[in-house]
Amino acid sequence: MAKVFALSKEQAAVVKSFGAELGVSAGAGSGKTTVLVERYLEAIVKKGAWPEEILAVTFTDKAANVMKERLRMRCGERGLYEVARRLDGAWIGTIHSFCSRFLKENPVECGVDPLFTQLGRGEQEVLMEEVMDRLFEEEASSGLCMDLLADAGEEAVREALKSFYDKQRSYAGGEDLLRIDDAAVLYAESEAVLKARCKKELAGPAVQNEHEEKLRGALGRLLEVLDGKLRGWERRRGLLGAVAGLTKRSPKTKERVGEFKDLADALAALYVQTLAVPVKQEWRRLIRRFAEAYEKEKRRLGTHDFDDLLYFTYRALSGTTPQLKALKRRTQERFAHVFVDEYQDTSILQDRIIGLLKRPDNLFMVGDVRQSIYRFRHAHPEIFLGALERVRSCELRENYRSRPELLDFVNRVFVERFGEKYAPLVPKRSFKLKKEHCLEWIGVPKEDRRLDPLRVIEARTIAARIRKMVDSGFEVEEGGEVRPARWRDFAILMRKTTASRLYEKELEAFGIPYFVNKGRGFYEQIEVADLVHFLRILEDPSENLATAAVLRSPLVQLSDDALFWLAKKGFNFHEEVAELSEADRGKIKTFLGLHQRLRGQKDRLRVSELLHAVVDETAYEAKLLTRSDGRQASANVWKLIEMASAVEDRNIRSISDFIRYLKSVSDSSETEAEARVLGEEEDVLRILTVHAAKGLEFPIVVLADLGAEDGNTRKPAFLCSPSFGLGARLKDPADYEFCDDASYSVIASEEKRKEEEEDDRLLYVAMTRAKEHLILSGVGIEEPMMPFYSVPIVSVRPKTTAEAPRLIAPPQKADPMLMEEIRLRLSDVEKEYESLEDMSVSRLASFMSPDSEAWKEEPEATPEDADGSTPRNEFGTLFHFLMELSVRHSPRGKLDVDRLASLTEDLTAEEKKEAEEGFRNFWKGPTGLAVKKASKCYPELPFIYKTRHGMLKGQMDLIYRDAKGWVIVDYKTNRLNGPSDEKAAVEAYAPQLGLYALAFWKLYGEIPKKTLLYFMVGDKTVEINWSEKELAALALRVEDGYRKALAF
Amino acid sequence: MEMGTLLHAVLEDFYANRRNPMQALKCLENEFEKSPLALEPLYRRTYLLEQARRTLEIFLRSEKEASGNGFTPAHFELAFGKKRDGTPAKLSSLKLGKGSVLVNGFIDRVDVSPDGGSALVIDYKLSERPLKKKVDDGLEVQLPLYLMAVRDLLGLEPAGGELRFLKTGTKAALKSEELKGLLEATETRVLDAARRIRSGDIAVKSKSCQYCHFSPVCRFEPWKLIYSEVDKHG
Repeated sequence: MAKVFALSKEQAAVVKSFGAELGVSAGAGSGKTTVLVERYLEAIVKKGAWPEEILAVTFTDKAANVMKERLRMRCGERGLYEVARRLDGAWIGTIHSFCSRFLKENPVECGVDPLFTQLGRGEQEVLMEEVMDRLFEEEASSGLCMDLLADAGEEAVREALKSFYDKQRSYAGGEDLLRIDDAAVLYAESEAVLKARCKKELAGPAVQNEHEEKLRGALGRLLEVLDGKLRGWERRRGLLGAVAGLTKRSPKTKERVGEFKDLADALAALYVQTLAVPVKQEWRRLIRRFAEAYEKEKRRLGTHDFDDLLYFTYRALSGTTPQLKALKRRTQERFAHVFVDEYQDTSILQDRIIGLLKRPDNLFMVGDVRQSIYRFRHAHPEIFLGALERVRSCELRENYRSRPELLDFVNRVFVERFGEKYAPLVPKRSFKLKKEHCLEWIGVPKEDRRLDPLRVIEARTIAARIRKMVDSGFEVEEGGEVRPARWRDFAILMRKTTASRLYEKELEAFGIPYFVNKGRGFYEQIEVADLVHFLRILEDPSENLATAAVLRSPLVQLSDDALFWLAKKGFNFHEEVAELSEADRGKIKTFLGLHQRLRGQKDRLRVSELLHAVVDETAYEAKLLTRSDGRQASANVWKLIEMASAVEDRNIRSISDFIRYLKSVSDSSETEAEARVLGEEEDVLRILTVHAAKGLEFPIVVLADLGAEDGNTRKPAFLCSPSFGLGARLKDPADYEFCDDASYSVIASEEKRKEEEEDDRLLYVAMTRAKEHLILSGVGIEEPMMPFYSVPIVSVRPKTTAEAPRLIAPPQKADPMLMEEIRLRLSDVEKEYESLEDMSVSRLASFMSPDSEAWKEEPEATPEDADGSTPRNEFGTLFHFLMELSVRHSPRGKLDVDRLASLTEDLTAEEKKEAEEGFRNFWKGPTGLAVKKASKCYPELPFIYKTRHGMLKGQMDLIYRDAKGWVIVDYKTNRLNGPSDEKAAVEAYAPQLGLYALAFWKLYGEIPKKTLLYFMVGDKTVEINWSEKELAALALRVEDGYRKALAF
Repeated sequence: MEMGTLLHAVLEDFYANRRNPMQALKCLENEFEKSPLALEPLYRRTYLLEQARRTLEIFLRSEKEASGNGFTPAHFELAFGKKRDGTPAKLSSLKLGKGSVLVNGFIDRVDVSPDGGSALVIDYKLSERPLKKKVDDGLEVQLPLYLMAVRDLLGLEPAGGELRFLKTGTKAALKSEELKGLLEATETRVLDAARRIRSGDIAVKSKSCQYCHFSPVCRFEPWKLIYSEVDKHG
């Protein structure tokens, strides 16, 4: 949105309209936030309200923050400093945050504990499940309840109990949802109608024809059943049996056969409706018992769940006692204005609360029915539609976001789907660039294959396309400027991110950095599973599968051979297993030690502490970080520990509680995202759900996975709606097949219709996120009919991965690190288990030099040292220590004489002289002088650099920073004989300095200006410089060195 | 899992001792008391037993309707090589590759033709699952091995193999025209797998992870299977 505060005519009309209830239908990109902000200011400036007198309800916390931010900025611009100050106490937030504040301000009237705690979604699930456990136990002798469980299955019954509780509350009580209709009247009427219809048909002239005779026979049998004595299930079977043989094969009888079959089906559903009455009564009793028990439990624990906030607020405001009426009056008087955003997504309960807060003339509602996508949270777009008809209303149709061609396409698609009532968006933003096309279509033909492999083709095509757009400098406009597209200009939107992994993998292969805020998947991540298995065996060491999982995981890294022998002994660690190698024995011993120790403490330590101990003592994080997705993995580990520690404050303390909690949150629809490792602000492409993208906009939008199949086909045990009450499905006791009753089937088809409408709206939201370019993509999606849409669309139909572009050609200046990264990532399918090892710089360097013998860590003790002189390596250590002390000394470069004497007292006179001379020479020389003046300076700096195969450990003798940059110094105490000797030494030591430089670069982010070898004997300084290219090449050699070392 | 074991035991008793359905239900209750399910809370035991009873009822009814192909149930829980308790079975192991590989197993049921010459091998499964796809993918080894066992150990001509699904009372059968080829292919596949394992090759090369509980140990993530399918189609 351009930062122009000149309001358009239609915007200004909304901003300035006060004095009556107002509903505004604001199309996508119509500057809704601007209007909200300006109207808020108008209420202050022109109507004399203060921020604390205005209630502004947003849909998300994020939207509330955006609004506050914008208000602050505008107040600053207009010099409204007192208003800006008072914004801190403003009522701008979600309905939940309003209710929370309201309850805490009025605890006595609302009947709540002022110090109530709030249950998270996962904790709510755990508590509900526990209440159900007890409920079912108590019901074990109720035959009806047990039949219910046997029919629908325990899982489905538990699901239904939870969703009914939730739904009833969203209806502000919702007793009408539990209405039981025995349909007795309808039943009798329908039988009469069918009977009359049969008789009429049979009274007509008989036609000599196979199909007609068949039909007449069926109708005769129907009449027999209807006039007969069969009741209940038998009557239903008789009815359906009578028409079972009828087919629609003959065109003459087709229509009538259809009619009679439909009538019989409808009547059969009514029979079930009658039979369902006792089952529904039982169900209603269970729901009520559950609600009561759950609420009692919450009271006992002094805690509320999320929707209690709304429900208690509603209860208080709608109360009829004088005290509560006064509270309602006070609340209404307090707010001069009530603003509600996203009204299309309010639930009945939320609408009721707003209704109790507002005065007759002070409510302002904004929304867009076409963007209502929260049905699963009980949003009812009908509420807003009704309000728009009831109150003064207007429309914002001008779009300040997207290209006219895109809007034209959107308008044409949705006038078709939404029908006449669709108000087309009017393009208002102007663009500098003229584009040949701004719509693309990628349709992978649906063959007789599973969806996932076809998705891979789709994903690869998308990734290749994006890469090409960026590489070829595809232009976008921002703030009136034209610039080449960056990764962050792209967003891939999907309905669900459950399959996003396939898309991520292709992005990785094409070197496209991305950020995905993904639900699900967290608990399936292998690093999370590893730790959970460790917890399991702390709880129950006899869980062999979990034991094997832990042993083979990076936590223990036992060899497969060892695992085989242990499994043979049933993981009986007491038994001697002769076949184990020394290394494996060590690993087992360490593991058993840790396990035993933690098991002893498991009831004293918190789960988070146990996890911490496991991670620390197994160096698990370091091991994870060597994986290509190590950063994500280690972030997930910390997230797990965070979760454990967060729920510990709320009674989920033991291992089994925690595991149950994890399971319940992973099963529930509320999903846990993987930990975030990348900020949203970085230059990365974003993958997000359409829901998460609501309210956002991107220059280029890829609407992917449009061919996704609707995964959830399981029918719930019970359904309900205010118009039809309870609907049930029963099992016919003859064959135990499910039969839907009349209410159930009518509610189910109503739900299906609403779901389809919501799908359309979801598509609308997704398509209107794009500012400049839209790519529609999916498996088996219909190709848009070009002439109809009038705008040019580029379309491709990749059938195989061969047709989908393969990897891009390597860039001109191939980045060796990136290529190595890509190579490794591509090859990690069926990647063999990698062993890891930690190494010192010197050991690694020895594996990296072409001739391993040429280079020695430090001069070794030589036979000539036997003459009473100090071994050369000890002399080296001593000299290093002297240097360290003198660098630490303040000022640098000094050492008091006594200290020097005491340190050198064991040396021979010649050595003493050598050491003292070297020391003095260094500090007199150019390096020493630079060190004295250095702004930063660290002697003996230890470091750990994580490579893919293990950690590289080392210590730099000295590193300092002068005006030009960082310098790494390494002291050498070798005695060199002549220039050829010096040359060999420098060559041999170079990899070591290179590793230091590499490690420093990777850890600190800056390449050292230079590295120096200082040979103290002879006061000789050799400078070695490292370019980025050389260091990148070295990094590859490090991997090589590790491979050699591991093979060694 | 436990439910399947339970019903297997009841069905073995039913056929081996020529019980009537009433006795089978009684047997179910007895077996239930012995099974780990009996450690569940009372309510769960109650409805699980009811579900088991229904499953048994559906299955016995479907069996009654299906009988009439002339074959009669002759062997139940037929063990070869070793019995479930680990003691040697009456029948020896099935020898493949001239005895280089020995296979032990238990066959749920073998029905024999009226002339006593050919056999239909039956395996009970609790829930329905596709057989054709498994055969096409070369993953079905159980039924072919059982058929080889009855051929080599009982001297019966393989007439067919069937999965019978207890919960639904439905079945899936191997195609009789494919039987011969399938037996040969299976033998090759088993020998190949044995050779690989013996040579120390235990790399994870899964084609299906659907019914495997060992994924935490093998650390192979099942979604990667998609890529082997992509590669197969080029």
